[in-house]
Amino acid sequence: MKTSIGCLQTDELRQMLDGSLSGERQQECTAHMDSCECCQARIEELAVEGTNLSQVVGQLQESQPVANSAYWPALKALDRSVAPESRDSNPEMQQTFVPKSSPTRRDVALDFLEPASDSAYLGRIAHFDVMRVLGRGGMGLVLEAFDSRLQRNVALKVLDPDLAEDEVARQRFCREARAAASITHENVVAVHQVEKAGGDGLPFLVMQLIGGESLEQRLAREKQLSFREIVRIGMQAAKGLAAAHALGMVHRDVKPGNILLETSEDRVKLTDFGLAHVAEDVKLTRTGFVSGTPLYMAPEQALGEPSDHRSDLFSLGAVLYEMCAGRPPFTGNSALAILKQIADAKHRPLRELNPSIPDWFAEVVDRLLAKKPGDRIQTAAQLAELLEYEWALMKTTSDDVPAVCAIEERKRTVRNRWIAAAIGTTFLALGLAGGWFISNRGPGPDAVPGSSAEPVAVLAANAGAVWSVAFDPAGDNVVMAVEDGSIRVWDLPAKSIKSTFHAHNGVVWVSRYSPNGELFATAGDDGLIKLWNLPQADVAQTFEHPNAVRGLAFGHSDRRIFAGSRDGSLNVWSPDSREPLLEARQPGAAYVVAISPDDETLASAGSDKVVWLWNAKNLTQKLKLEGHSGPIFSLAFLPDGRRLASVGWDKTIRIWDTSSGLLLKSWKGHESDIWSIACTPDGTKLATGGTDGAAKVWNAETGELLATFFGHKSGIHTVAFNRDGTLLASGGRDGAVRIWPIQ
Amino acid sequence: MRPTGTFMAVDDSPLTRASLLVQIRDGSNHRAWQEFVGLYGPVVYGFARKRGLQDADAADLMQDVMRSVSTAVGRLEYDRNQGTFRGWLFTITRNKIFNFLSARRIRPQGSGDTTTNRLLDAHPDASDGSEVWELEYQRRLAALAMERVKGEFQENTWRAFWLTAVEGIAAADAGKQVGLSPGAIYVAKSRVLARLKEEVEAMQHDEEPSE
Repeated sequence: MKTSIGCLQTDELRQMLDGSLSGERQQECTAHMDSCECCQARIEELAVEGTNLSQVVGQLQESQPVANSAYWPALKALDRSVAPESRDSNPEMQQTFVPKSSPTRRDVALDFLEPASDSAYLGRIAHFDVMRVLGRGGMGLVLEAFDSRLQRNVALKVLDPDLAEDEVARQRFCREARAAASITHENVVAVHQVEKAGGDGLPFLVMQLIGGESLEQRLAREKQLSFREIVRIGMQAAKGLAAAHALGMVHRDVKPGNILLETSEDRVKLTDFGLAHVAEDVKLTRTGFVSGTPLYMAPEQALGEPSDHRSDLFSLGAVLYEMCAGRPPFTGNSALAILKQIADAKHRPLRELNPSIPDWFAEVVDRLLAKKPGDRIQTAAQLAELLEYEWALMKTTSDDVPAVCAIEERKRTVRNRWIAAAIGTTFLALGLAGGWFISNRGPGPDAVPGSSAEPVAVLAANAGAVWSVAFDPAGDNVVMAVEDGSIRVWDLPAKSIKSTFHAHNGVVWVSRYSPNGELFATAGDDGLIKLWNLPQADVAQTFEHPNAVRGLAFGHSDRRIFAGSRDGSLNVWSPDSREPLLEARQPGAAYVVAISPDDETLASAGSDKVVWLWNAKNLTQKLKLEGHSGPIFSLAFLPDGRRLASVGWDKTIRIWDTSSGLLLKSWKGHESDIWSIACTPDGTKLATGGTDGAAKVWNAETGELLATFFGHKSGIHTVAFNRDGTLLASGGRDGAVRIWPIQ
Repeated sequence: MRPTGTFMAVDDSPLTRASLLVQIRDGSNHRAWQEFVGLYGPVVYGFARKRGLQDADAADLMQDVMRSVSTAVGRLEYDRNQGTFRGWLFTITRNKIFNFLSARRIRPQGSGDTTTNRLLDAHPDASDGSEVWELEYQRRLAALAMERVKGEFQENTWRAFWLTAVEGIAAADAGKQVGLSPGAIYVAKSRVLARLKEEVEAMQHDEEPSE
């Protein structure tokens, strides 16, 4: 018999929570709770004590990864790739392997896979744990997998099980794949090996995993690529083809889907060499028809005639055409209609569809799309060379070469002289009329955010390119090292030249003040390092080196001088002796040296793409910082000494942890080579200058772009901050030094 | 407030913010890294889903964020004074989502475009996201706390709690499944909640000792 009781006191509710109520009372109260909504709510309220825990727990399962979520494979992949052993070896590489978005497809038949050892994987084939399906083509499936033996992520290309039943197809697949594996080139996806599942099972290729997208995907989302990008993609694809052709390999299926665009390196890679052939043959013999799209097929392929490497050039021409025009050169409602067009019809002139394409390029495409192989540009190497030349011009004409010269260069490359003359005259007229040629290429100052500031001073009229600029730590002087071997000292407030003196025979590569302003050093192409007494410009000491000295740095608290030379030698000097204190050598040429704020670590870098860290006390090697994909031109320690910034040919700015050697951050800084980097004394900002003529200021912590300064007519070689970081000096090829205000 | 430096040396709880960060920073402690991803991975994923990302995209984003952390973690000492670690992680996550959505908007992808625009427009600067983020974090803490305290309760008490508090089943229905009266269900649920609250607070304190 239940007794009905009144609502419970707060104290009693608390006791119910901690179980300290007597058994009998507990039963009574619990019975009361059966029906009293008020007490039900109150006890819960007491339990969570005003926190939102009830709400949190109530929504616990919301938005959490479900059992078959992509979260779990992602977690697994992450776990593998960030595992200490792989993380230490190359942190940069780990970042590239995940395609931007490729949901796991459940509609693909994966029944050839063995059960996964771990539920996070889709399955297993040989010693590869399959994470997901990256795509499927006419020939088979592409999978992302983890190679449990070599502990790395790879792409697997599995021959369609249907095709694999055909013994001829299998043999051919393996043969072609082995041949493809012999191509080693940066513009070809590396084929690591050819494997068979379980000995005699399904053959598959183990390939390098590329982070990025195919040109096909790119074109699908971005109809119009910039012309510069088109030339770059064409150039790199041609280089990849040239490498394969040199080994006697023909691709046979060059198309946007087989041209991969790697995100991290701006690199183009060709894939699927020779493999189209395999699927084609089998299907042809079975059905009499070629399946898939013939949109990029060469006429001789369409007609079933013998094809060779020039067929690849036709296909690449068709790809270039599509990138410019937004559609392939030959289209039709059926494969047969397209084949007929390819064989008989002339493609519509490219410039009718896209008038912004220069004549020379339209002409190149026309020649590639010639019906007879003999009328085409004959080799991929020739095409690559031609495109590279034009690309280099596009890269530099806007600044490095005056407009008139650019026209002269252009004349030489365009085959059709009549057209060339016409372009030449037009450009010449426009160029002379008012600099149209320059102002119309690339983003001008107005187009770029943060470029509002005007220089506070322009120190021009130097007798050649400026290779190094330095602020006097103790005064208002700005010193610049000039290409003609002279040093100029400018009085900044007066904006006038204080003195000019001859310092070296040949280029003065670098000039530096010692931190306290007491010493001034220069280094030149003549292999000499000179210490000067300023302002009288007396040579206080000379150090001789057999090769050009490119890098120079002063110790911060000792008076040692660190130098790096074109022959890779590194030397430490004392102002008091003509003999080096220490010597060492790095591979390749040294372009720059930097010394840590505590004078413990010397960094050197140059043509071998590696930043070398040395114990500054004895020049023993400490660490190698690897990651740059090209020569390194400049280094800067941040004031904390733990971080080192490096820049170079690959356009990236990299920040390294000097104690662990880990890459902390890297980002693309400029449109082209970065020649110089400097850090403010307080370590908050970095400045860079590059051949694109821009000086940029970055938040050293986040990499956020704070300002972009335009003004140099050509590439910047050197940037430097003044002693309190309020001014930035930039100097370069145009022989001027510009002083910019820093916010 | 405990000084962080000494705190991390004494407390070996892997959830401790400072010690966990120290452990993942040296790069060789794989367990600490897993612990770390176990705590924050679902927070990042859940937040991304809440922002409208699909499962696969949210999973990719989680990877991306964690990779950024693994490369940037050596620098954390520097960052510590500038705000909480969770705040820093939130900034990274928010920025990456914003970039992801922006990239989508720039490159229209069929009908997804409209949705993306809506998502972006709905969160022009994503400043309002911090509450959602915080909630995701609390959920994750609650989930971890539940794993820890589960063993302390009798099975039917735990089930009573789970059915009503997590799955939202009415006390009467839960009572039938577990074999308890509705009143007993309420008591059980509240007892677990009270214990969870304690645990979450302890974890939270460990996690952000300066707060």
